[in-house]
Amino acid sequence: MELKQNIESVIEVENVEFGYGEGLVLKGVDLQVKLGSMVCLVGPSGSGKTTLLNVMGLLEKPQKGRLIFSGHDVAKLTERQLEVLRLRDLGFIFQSFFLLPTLTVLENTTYFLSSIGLTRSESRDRGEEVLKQVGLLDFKDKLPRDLSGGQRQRVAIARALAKKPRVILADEPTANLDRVTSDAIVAVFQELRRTQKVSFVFSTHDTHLVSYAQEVHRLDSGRLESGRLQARPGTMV
Amino acid sequence: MKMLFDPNIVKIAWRNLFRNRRRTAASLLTVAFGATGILIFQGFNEGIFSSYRENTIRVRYGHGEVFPKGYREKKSEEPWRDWFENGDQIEAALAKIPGVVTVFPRVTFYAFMTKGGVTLAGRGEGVLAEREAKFFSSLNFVEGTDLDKAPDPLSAIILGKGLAASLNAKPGDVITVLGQTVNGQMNGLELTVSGIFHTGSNEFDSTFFRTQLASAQSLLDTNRIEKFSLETTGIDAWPEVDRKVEAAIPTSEARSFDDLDAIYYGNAVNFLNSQFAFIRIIMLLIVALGIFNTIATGLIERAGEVGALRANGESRARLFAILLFESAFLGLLGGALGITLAVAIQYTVLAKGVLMPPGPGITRTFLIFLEILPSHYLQALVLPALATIVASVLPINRLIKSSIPSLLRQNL
Repeated sequence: MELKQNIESVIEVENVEFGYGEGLVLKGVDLQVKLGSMVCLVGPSGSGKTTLLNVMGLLEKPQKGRLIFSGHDVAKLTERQLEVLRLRDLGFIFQSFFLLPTLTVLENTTYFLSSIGLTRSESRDRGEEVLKQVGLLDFKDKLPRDLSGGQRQRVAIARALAKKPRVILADEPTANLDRVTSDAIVAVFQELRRTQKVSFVFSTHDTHLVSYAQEVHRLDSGRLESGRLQARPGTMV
Repeated sequence: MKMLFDPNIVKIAWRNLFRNRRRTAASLLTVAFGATGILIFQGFNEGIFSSYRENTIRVRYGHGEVFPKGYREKKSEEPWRDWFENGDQIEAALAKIPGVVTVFPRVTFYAFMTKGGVTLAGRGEGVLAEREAKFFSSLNFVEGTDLDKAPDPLSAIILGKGLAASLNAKPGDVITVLGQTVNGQMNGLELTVSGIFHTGSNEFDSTFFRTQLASAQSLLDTNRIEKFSLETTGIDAWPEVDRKVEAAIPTSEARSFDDLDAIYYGNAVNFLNSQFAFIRIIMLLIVALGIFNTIATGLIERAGEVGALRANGESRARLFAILLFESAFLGLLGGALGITLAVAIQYTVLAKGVLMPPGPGITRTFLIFLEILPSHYLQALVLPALATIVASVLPINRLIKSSIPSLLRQNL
């Protein structure tokens, strides 16, 4: 599958509907994620944040509307093509980290690199470079069980970043972390956004994290309210 | 296909074995007990075969016998007409064949046996007792001695236990043996019982007796030899000996002991093999069912992790390969553990053998020793591993085919 280079928006969600059974979880959602942007999704539990992330992350196909990802109309892609897009262009980070407990920090970080064609030494170099970015190079030979929650989340970020994706989607990335660790992780996000034009989309209830986003979108009962909110530090969401 | 040989797949699968040591230990033990069961049962069966085989070879046939060509299929009222006339030459030719250790010329005949007021029909065999004594060692004398140790071997006779009981004969008693010469005349010999044997085969012990070859030939009034039993360098040597016998002596044909004793040995082997095949299937099913539950539970606990990998672009094929390799490692390690356990049992608990009661048609007990062959080790390693792999395919398939969001929801 051809990789489209000259694109402005990495994700375009157009009037998307999605639901389980008869009820709709997403109702006519429109959203654009530009390269190098940091987008935050807020809203009460059950409002559809995770579902929207799943749709944008190619885990669910919209039942109505259109989703353009990296210039590709998702409706026209096969399962295998979606798999390749997720591998090359997408990084997913979860609240529960989901690291492989029997692999070292470096091995977790380089997990996907052989699948995208890197040699062993290239993988190692890339892994060390990314671990340095997230401040965990000294821990590269440790197992996840030897790390704190914040460090584990940074390994999950490193694993997503090592693929050099265009966009990173994060579902409540700081929910299990303290303020200091959250700040450190957001700092990593900001640095990557500025230097590598990586886009970030995250859902959160953490008002402090919201304050760092360029765009904040509120979901309520599956509808994206008022398009865009400009976040201010300390604003309740 | 290149993807399946990514060394990372093997590395990750191997490491995954150690993520939950207690569960891995439980799975290993399930597979190991299956492998141990298969190996011990198969070794036990082989021990029974071996015991049967040795009994058959060292009581009756040797490793095989050489007959005049077509003799065994031919029905004749005067079978001696087909016997070898040039026995000495045939014996010399057989002795020269590579793989042949000893040649035992024999004649068999039917005769009436009389002692006191009792007359019975019996089946006799004339043998070179001195030559046979060393090899045919499983006659199992319960009273007296073999022919070669009798004070006058040429006028000695040994009887099966059942035949002796019917004649009420004991060592030292004189038996009159009445037979028909090759010319159709009646002939008789007065022979002294030198020993009573008990092979365990009811049919054999109830009808059989042995005399010196010269005595039997004198009774039959012939110098001919009916057949030659052969001791070879081993069972494995027989096919080659068979081929060379028929090439060297075109008027003869060779038959192996298992062919000659198809009813007793051959049927026993077939029966036990069929029984073992059935029980092996049951054992493998037990392993598969036992391991299925453990693997399925383990995979459910990893649903979130698998979902996260899939969300980041991990392919189903690569995940399938990793999880399947994990099962294969589990099966092979369990098999290896089972083999170790079986060998330990073989050389400790079962080192002194297992005393088996008489089987059908057999009247004496057998001491059976486990005989585990190299092919059995391979089976014990591979079959439980295959059962483990087969048992894991369904839960693995179900896991990797689940939608990614549903996987992620399971471990939140």
